[in-house]
Amino acid sequence: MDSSSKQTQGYDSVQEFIANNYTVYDGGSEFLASATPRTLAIWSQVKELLAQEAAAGVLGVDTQTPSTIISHGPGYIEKEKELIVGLQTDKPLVRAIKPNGGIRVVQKAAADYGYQLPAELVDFYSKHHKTHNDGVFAAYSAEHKLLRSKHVITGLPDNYARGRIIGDYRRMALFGTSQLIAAKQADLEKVLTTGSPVTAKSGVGVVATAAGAGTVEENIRTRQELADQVSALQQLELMGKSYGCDLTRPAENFREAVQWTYLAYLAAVKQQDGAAMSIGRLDAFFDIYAEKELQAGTLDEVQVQEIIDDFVIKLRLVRHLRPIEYNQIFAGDPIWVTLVLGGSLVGTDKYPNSTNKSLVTKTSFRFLHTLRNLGPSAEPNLTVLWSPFASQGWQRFCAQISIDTSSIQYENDELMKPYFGSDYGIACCVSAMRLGKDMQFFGARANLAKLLLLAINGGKEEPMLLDSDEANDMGGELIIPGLKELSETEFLDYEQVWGRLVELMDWLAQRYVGAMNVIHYSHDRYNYESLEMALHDTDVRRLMAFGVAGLSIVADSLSAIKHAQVRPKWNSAGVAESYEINGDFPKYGNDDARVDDIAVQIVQEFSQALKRYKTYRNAEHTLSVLTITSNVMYGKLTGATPDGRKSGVPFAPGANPMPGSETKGALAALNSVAKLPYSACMDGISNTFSIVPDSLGKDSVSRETNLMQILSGYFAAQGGHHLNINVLTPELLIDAKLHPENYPQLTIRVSGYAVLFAKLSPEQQDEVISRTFHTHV
Amino acid sequence: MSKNSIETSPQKSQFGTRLKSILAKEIKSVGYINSIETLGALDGPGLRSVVFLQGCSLACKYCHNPECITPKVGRTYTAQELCLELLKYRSYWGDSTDMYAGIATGGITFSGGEPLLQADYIQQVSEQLAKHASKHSLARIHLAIDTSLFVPQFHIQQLLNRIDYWMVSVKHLDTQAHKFLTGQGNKHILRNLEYLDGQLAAANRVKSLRLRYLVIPGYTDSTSYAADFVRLASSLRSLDSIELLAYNSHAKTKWEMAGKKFSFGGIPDATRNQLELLAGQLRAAGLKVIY
Repeated sequence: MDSSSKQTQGYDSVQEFIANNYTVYDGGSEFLASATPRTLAIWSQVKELLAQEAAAGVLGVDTQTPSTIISHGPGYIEKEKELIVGLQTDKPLVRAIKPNGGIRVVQKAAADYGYQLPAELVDFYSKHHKTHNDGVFAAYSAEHKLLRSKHVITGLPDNYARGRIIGDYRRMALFGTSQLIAAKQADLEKVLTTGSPVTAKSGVGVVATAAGAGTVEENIRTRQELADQVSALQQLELMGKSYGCDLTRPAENFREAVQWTYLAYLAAVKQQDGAAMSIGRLDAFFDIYAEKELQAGTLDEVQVQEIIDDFVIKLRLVRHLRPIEYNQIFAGDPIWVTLVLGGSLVGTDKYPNSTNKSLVTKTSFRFLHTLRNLGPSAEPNLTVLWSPFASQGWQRFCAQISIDTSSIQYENDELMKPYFGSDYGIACCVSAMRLGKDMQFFGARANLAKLLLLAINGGKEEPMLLDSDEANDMGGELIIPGLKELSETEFLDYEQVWGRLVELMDWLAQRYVGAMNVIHYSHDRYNYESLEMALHDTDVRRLMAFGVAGLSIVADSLSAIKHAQVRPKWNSAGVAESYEINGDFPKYGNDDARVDDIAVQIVQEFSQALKRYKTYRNAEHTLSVLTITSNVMYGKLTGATPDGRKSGVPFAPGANPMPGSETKGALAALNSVAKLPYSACMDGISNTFSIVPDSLGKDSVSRETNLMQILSGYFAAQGGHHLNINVLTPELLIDAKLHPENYPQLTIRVSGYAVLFAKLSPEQQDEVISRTFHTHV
Repeated sequence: MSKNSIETSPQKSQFGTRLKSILAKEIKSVGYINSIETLGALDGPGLRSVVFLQGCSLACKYCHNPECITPKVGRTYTAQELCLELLKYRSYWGDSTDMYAGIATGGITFSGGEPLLQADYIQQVSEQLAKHASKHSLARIHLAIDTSLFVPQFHIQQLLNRIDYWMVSVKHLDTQAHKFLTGQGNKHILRNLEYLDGQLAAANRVKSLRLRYLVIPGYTDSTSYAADFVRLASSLRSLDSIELLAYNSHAKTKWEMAGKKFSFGGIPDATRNQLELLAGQLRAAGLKVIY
């Protein structure tokens, strides 16, 4: 029944279009063109605006007009100079409001920057229109609310939009809205409102229920969603018209291909302010159009690069209105315009000769080159899909750009291909999805360190350091009732604690899945991503992405309990306020099986626990080991742990070992992280690697070569999933903290994205500075 | 320093025949390892895992690894244990059999301390590594050593065919200055260097020797040394390159951490310019210089 996938409009055809038409590029970076005077002129105008924004927090808020695809007329930086057009509002960097996620959070965000929403607008969204946030809190259980307020589960998208859905924006350029609308309308007509028997259809690793084969209620929901999708495409067509683009037809040349694709993405970021609004995979697709024009002589390299540069400038200007406190979990105003580059084809029956053929094209180089032409930047979130089948020229260029800009992250293509094929994108940091074929229900993360403390403390909250000057909070509030006391021993007993932790993982998994079901039911109902979903197949695979924080702390704590002696110091509320450790114990991050195996067991156990509980829309459970920047906040809100970590000390980011625990150098740390099984953590395993340039080699060529070697060792041999590469010195960061004015473009990689260092809070800056910088004298 | 001075040095007893056999027997069973740096990009070609062995026969005033000076302390590893530990990082070293051909081959570097003081142990480790490589039909693992050569000659002989790349730290060319800086004159070292180079050259192993030279402002950076250095380097037939290292005062912290008094204070760090100046003179003589 699925016209949008079975006919020419479907995902198969974008992939086929690429596989049949692209030109792999095996050479080096010497062909690249510098920025043109036009590019430099417009970029300097933009930089001026960015500086004003940095000083003011936001450059402007349109409080009057809730944003939709067509809410705002066309906006320009300087119309005559722009090659790729389109802004979210009438003016660059002016932020729009999107109250469907929740009106209160928008009100707060506006107020944080000194803006006030019109009373009638607040009134409308409070009294006459139910938001996602209202829906969630109406359906949350008391336990859900408790776990949320006690920071056991944190960062859930229950008062902001979920994001992490990647429209296949290329479909806009390849087909035009007329074909896309016709396909969706055809799909709609096939869904019966009487329902029909369920038929199982096999997806990649999952059984998806074909749309239209569900219950009456499910089918009516599908019909409404399809109608919304059609309407979104019609609005996109109108928005295109306002910019003078006839989107009803496919793009006819390179500039149009970029423009059409961008307008589709722009429509998405006008409609939605999801946590991560990623853009997918464009390099080989765009390259086909570029190559055609280069061959025909209608464009030269300078012009092609100029269009890419202009497109990237637009991506650097995307903004959402966020409350200041949002910065704690997602610091630095990120959009996650994640753009993957490179990778390779999967061999299929259809393309037997294409097995593992590199997908690196000249346009892959052109995108990385924007970091030189325009300088380093946090957005778009450039993500290289590391492939052993890519040329040395490409790998070396990536290494060069990493060393120069610290703006790239790498993910293991060979690890993801078996799950996601060769036409997937990355949402946010590390979440893979087949473009137009998978979508995700994003679910932040559970604080496993806190769960361990609940296990030790019989389900009662641990004491916490509220503030260095104040008395401690004694803890003791019962969060998980009905637990039998652990038998009293002087030192914590490994078997007992582990057994209890496993039991609590199951307990938490049930509530976590339950809360996620509520959230995504409400989001589908009150804040549906009709434009993004219009650029998906009608019948999509849904992934429900859970997450964990504090993995290294839990692994080290259990290792201490197992290999050393850990004596809890109980306070008057009957909970442990600190832990005394006698003896030495192996720490995660040293490639030591005695503790690394514990880390592996933890993620496997939690992944299995989650899978025991039924998800909304039969989504497939996935898990990430990722903290974004919330590792600082998690640390603040978590008491002392049995690994010797003091109350309030930041967690390590993502799957990283705790700073200071790595005694054998960087490769041992990489090997430890690489042991975490992707099969249990299909939503990604984030690892941030920071090294001082001088420690990477004596000269630029050896630095590049050594970095290539680190990457290939980590990915190809160890099977690691993700690596952020920072090549800089802590001294530079300390100076940047003191003199931000000297470092307007200093970009660093944090957990799964890049951020302008100056946009981090002082605490987050300190945490980044205190991380392990691999150095060797 | 006269030939005799080495005989009368405090190290004499350590090199005495009687003690030697005892030492050899003991060292055979285990190695004393201070630490392992799995990511070494500065200690030999390519990416290397570096083993810092315990014990040193010199007493350099500015030693950057003072924690490695005392022999036979710290953690012990059998040869097999060390091999298993090191082989975990094999995939990062690169070799001609992997798909990333063209990348400089890294491997393992033995450093310290003076690694040659545990030559028997290193020999066992290298045998184990070779066995592993042949068992798995893998290319031989590239081994480098970072040594002062202030050791009995037979230790060098023992490892001649085991170590692929020899990095010899020449502390000073003037024997008095050498004695001032390290507690020992340099005659024995220079003799060993000549021996090592002769053996490598005879085996046609060109480019398997590197001289490492620490540039200490006011001590080792004068232009007249450059001429001496050129003379020495030009005489070596197996020489690959000269590596200039810049003195920095980070060592002080490490001495203090090791509970030792640092007596070499007040020396400024060597600058990039100073290195460039010296490098220029060496390059003018047709030598390959890295820094």
